Amino acid sequence: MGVAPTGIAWAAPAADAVLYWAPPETPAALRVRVKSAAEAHGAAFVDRSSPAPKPADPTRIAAAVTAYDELRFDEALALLDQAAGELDRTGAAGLDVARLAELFLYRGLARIQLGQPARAWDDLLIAARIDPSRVLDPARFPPRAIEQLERARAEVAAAPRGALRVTAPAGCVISIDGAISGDGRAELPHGAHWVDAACPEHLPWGRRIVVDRTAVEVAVAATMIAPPGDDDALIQARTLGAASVIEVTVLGGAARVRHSRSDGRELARALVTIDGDAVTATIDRMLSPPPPPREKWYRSRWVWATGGALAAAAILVPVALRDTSDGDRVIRPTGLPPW
Amino acid sequence: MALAACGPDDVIVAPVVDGPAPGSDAAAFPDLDEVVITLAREGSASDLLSASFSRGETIELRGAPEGDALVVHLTGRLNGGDVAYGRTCAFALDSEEPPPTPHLWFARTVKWGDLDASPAAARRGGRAIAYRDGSALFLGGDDASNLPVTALERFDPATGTLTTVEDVFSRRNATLAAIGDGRVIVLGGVDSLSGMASSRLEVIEIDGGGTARVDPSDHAGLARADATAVTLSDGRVVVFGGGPVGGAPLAEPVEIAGDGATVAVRELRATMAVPRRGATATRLSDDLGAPVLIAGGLDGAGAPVAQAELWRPLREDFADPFTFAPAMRVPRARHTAVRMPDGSVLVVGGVDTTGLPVRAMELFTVDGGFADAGLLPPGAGVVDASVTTLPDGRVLISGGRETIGGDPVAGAYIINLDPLDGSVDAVTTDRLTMARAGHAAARMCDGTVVLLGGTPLASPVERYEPPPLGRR
Repeated sequence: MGVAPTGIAWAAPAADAVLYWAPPETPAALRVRVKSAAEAHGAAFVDRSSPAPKPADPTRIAAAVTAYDELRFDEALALLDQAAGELDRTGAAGLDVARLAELFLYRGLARIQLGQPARAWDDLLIAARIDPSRVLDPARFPPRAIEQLERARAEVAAAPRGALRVTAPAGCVISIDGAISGDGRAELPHGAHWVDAACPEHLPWGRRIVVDRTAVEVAVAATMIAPPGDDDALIQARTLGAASVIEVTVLGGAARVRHSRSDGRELARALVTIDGDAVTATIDRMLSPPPPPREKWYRSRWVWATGGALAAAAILVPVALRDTSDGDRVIRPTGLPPW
Repeated sequence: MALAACGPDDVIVAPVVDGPAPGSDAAAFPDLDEVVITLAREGSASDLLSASFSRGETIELRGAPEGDALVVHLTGRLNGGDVAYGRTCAFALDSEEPPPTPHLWFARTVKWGDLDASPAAARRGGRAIAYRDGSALFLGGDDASNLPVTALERFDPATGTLTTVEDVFSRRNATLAAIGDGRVIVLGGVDSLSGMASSRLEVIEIDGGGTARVDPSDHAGLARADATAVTLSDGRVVVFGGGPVGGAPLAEPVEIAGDGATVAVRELRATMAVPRRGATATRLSDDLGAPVLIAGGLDGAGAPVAQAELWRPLREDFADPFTFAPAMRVPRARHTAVRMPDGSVLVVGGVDTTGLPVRAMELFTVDGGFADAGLLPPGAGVVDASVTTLPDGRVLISGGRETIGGDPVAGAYIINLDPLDGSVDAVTTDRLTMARAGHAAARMCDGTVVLLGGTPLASPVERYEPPPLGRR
């Protein structure tokens, strides 16, 4: 995809700021490239993107399992408390059934080891509710833990069940307790469960749901992802005190690059692909200062400036060459064994 | 560590990674999947630079900025979990100066590892204290021939070396404290030649090159065996209790304060309600004028004291014993007290009025006095253990003896306040590589704990790698 001709870019003044907006799924590298392009020209970079909600972090649960296996029960419990604290916000997005059940199973096991039997029991009940098939290996776990989980599984099996129905806009992928549900329906034991929905062009949505009757219905109300309007860009430009700004707005795999003055007058516009260097090339072009008017060479201040610069360089370059600090500073540990 | 150029202008800053011997349980390598290296400002939650590297890749960070108080963090990952960690102490990057050479102890977390270092002597009953530059100083204790060790040793985490930096006065059971400018003072104890309480005050100062200077002076008011000292939040040190060998404990405290290149010693006019020796003194917060809790110890008749006292630095007086006289549930001596993150004081170990070990812990709060805080786990040292506060506020108890005169133990335990209900939890952590009692341990600027001594013969120095929490 090429860069759309603008015709007036060479005559436009350099912008003071680059305003960037992209949906959460946009590669982070694009933001880095745009920021570098802006800063290379001395323009401010302002990221107006909404931060993407963080999904649950399964590595935290894995680290907790490792801590439990190494008898660091308090550390395991702290990690699992953090992981559980995220669930009500994320609806367990990012976790599959096994990981979600493991969170509560290991938290219960850690609490057994730390002498908190009542709270351990609550966790084991949740673990059995999420994954009733989970059993413990007698070679790895103490008999007390195995017996407690079996009791929890039996209690969950005997508990009443309710029908959960999740309604969502077309195209949404719904997960219930970490398992993808094609129709958003599930028969679940009474108690707490977690639902999340991933809908195109919407922020992730997740909730903790309590199934406490025969039928429970939940409607997904995900927030739509939309770029700021043109007025927002003008307000931002005036707030910054910018004479003109460049807006980079990513939508549907393409970027709209728009150069406008703070009074709203558009100076240049391009629609380019976000792949490759098309966005940065467009920004470079829009940010480049206008070419100088033709004049007699000896009247050109650039000639005199260049001559001055060469003279200064003849003095300063030898000095600068003695200063090794101009290079990149690299941190490279030594003493590491081969790995 | 070396300065080398990989490009015409590149400056290579090469932190030296130290670690336990290969094959040790604490060794980070070789089975890591990934190593994450991070450059950050000390204490800052955000990174300046960070990158992760898989097996076989060259570990490096490009574009490091100039600045002070920079630290490098190294995290080892296995199966998605963080299993190893290490960080440097703070260093500066300045284009006008040669690149620094910080060392970094990289080991499995919550593991003890042996250092490649030879201590000067066995050092049973020695003392340790953290110096202002983040290194650890060790002094005192007896050698393998039961003679006092006079060598002052320093372990510097920035260079990864243990060196004898100076000799100190020959005495046993001295009291140590740091004054506000970071210098360390040594006072009291028993003169090993005369057998009397020592009046010698030594001020230890270490310069940027690691050279130590010890300035001695004598003060009759400091001739106290079994005294305790605490650093106030304004940097003054107050010495409580202790007294002549075989005599009654002294009731009047003494203040020691930095006075330019020297120190000023001042006897205070206050009087303890119960003069005692072998008490603990714990400052209750870091606020200016924060009071100090004096707990336990032996009274003039040699009995453990139940009544605690409160020193109020701004008034230079003890709280009125008619309004402040909380009593420990188990009167005890030879115990340890440590301030917890919520401002409470945990009292651990010691012996009771019958000389039996006390396994019950107590938690002191200003509003609630002393309360039961559970029992030390079986196998934990009750006397002669080392008690060290970790960077995350938890407390590490290592080695010691379960009974007076019993065998040393190797068990180590972590004690922390349960964040949910405030109760005290004690859990097992990695055992020392050998049983020790009367050893000395100190936490250093990189958050690791270095421990030495406590064995009949000179033994390896051990280093504990706490979790990364609180070590930014």
